[in-house]
Formats: sequence, structure tokens, C-alpha cells
Amino acid sequence: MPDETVSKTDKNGKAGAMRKQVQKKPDGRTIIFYSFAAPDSPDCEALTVTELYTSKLEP
Amino acid sequence: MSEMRWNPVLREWLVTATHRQDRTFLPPAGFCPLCPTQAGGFPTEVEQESFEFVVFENKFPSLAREPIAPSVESSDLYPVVQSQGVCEVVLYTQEHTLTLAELPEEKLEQLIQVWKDRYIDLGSKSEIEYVFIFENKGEAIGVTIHHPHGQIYAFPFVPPKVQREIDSEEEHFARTGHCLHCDIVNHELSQKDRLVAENDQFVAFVPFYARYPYEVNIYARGHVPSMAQFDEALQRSLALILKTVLVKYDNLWGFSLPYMMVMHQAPTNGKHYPGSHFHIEFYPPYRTREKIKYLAGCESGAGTFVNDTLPEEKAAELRLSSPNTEHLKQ
Repeated sequence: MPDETVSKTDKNGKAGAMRKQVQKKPDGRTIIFYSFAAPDSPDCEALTVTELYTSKLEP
Repeated sequence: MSEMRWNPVLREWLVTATHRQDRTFLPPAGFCPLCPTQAGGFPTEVEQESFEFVVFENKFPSLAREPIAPSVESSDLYPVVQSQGVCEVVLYTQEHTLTLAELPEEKLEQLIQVWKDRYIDLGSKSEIEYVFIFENKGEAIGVTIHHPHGQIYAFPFVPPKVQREIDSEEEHFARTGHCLHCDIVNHELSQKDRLVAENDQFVAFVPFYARYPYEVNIYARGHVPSMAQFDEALQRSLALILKTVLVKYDNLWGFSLPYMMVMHQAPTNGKHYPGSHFHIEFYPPYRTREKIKYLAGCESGAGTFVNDTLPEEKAAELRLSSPNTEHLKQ
């Protein structure tokens, strides 16, 4: 599955952009790797923010 | 084997999970299943040599994404259903010996984003009514693996304690026109004698009705139903006050304090819950430096907690406990 950027926190060099990589373990369980690009890194600039809110949840 | 059995006496679901008897129990040093897999080493849950945060489905889940049929027949008196849901493990760091209290504030802020993502992702599933984020820390709580981690149970129902909160929220709103939790926060901010810490977006206090001597609640000052509404300012402020409370706990007696940390926020079943107000509740099991608060006959049998201390006195102790990590004793 492709990486998904789920948020971008870019303030004062703090959290940066969150990247989410979803994989399946050999036994079928889901495993998700979260990583954070530094806000001033080219990685962060290249990422796009995905809107996550769904109709089930209040925005 | 896992299933949900209805308790018609207490009117609540019980989850059986017999396979959990075989789960990993206090593995020896060097064989942690939650550490990254090292080259030539034994395979762990995370088959990478490094990671920042990892979330995976529990190998021994109480609730299953694809549940099997119940072991017994359902009846009118004893309804039984499949235990559908999701149980996830959240690894806070690859460093085996750290605790949540020892994570840098920036890392806590990132973890909050991970929790938020899990709340939204799991909560968007049609079968999930409540996303329950929690951490059990320390052997006194029953922790079986020491690697810093929390858990998430995505329930197919609203758990009874949360439902009781919702009922209280609705009753209070009908009676006063106010959010119950907003009224509690405003009262604690004005009263001050149970406050432990505060910042621009959050407040931490020992509740007036604390069940555990060192129980602390962290509330959003504003009316924030869930993490789905968190913006950068809320994430940052929560990370800061979380760090403060956790470090105060560890500095209280100079050891890493065991606790249960649970998050209460809006259900995700598509219904409107105007009274839901995000907060974190901490239940440390200690009543003194050497003594454990056990849930004995009165608590377990009658459902009435007996607190051997006064919340105002415990809050004063926690206010005096240093929020600085340089005072943290290992």
C-alpha cells in the first residue's frame, strides 16, 4: 500500500509531517509505521495533506 | 476463543478471550517481542531494524476484526455474539527502557497525532462504536511486556463506564443547559485546591470524586469532544501537560510510577454526543510509596470505592512534586 501523509504540523521546527505506511504481517495482521519528516526537509515539502474526517465523525 | 456474553444482571457485555492465557509474559532481557528485529536476532513483532512509532494488531486480541463463531448458543436469557472489533498495540519508541514520561515533548506531540489518526481511522469503521485508547504501565498493574507501549480497543459497543458518563452528561445538560465537564473544569480552575498543572489549553487536577489517591484527570479547557477536533495548538498543549503530569508522578517518590491511563472522548457510532468532552484519566495503584490500593470487597462487590485520602491533600503533594526531568530519579 502507498504511504499516506495524514497530517502536517509545521510550526517552529516541531512535529513535522506525519507519514503513515500500512503493511500486512505474514499472518495477516495489519502493521502501521508512522514517521515524521522534519518540517524544513524536502520530504516534508513533497508531502500532501490528506483530509481524514469522515461522515461518521464530527469535523 | 473469544466471544461477547451479555450479563443480564449488570446489563453489560463481558468479553471472553481464552487464547490470551498464552500471551507473552515478562520475557527475559534481550527477547522483547516489541523491540525492532536486529540482524541475526530473533524475529520480533517489528521486522525492521528501527522505527519511530508502530501500531499493529494485537497477536492475542480480545476483539477480532474477523471473529469466529461463539462457543455456546445464544439465548433470550444469555445473549452471545461474536466479539467483533480491533485491538491494537501502539509502540511509543524503539528504545526498550524508556517510559512515556521520558519521551521528549516533541515525541509526545507526535504520539498524540498517531493517537488522533487511530481514533479517526478506527472510528470511521461501520462496526466500531467506541475507540478506547489506554496504557497499562508497571507490573503492579499487570503489565506483561515492559517495552513502552499503549493499547487501543475499538469496541462494537459503547463501554458501560463511558455510557454512564454520557447519561450523566445528558442529565446535567437537561437540568442546567451546560456541559457537565465544562462545569467541572471551570469549578476546578476557580477552586484551585485540587489543581495539579495547567496551561493555555488543558488543565490537570485530582478529581473531587477521586477513586484512587493519586488519580489525575487531564481535561481540555474548551469544549473539545474528541481528538478528531485537535489542532496543532491542542496537540502541543496536551503534550506539554502530559509530560508535566507524568514527570510529577515519577518525581513523587523517586521511581517510575505505575498507572492506568485511559482516554474518554466521543463515541464513533455516528450519533450526536454534545456532552462528550475529551479527557484523560490516570489511575496509579499506589496509596503510599510502599502500599498498593487494592480493589477489594467494597470496590469489587458493591461498586463503591473507598479512598483512604483526601483529594485536596494529594493534589497539594502533586503540585509540590517537581515537573522537571533533571529531578527524575531512576
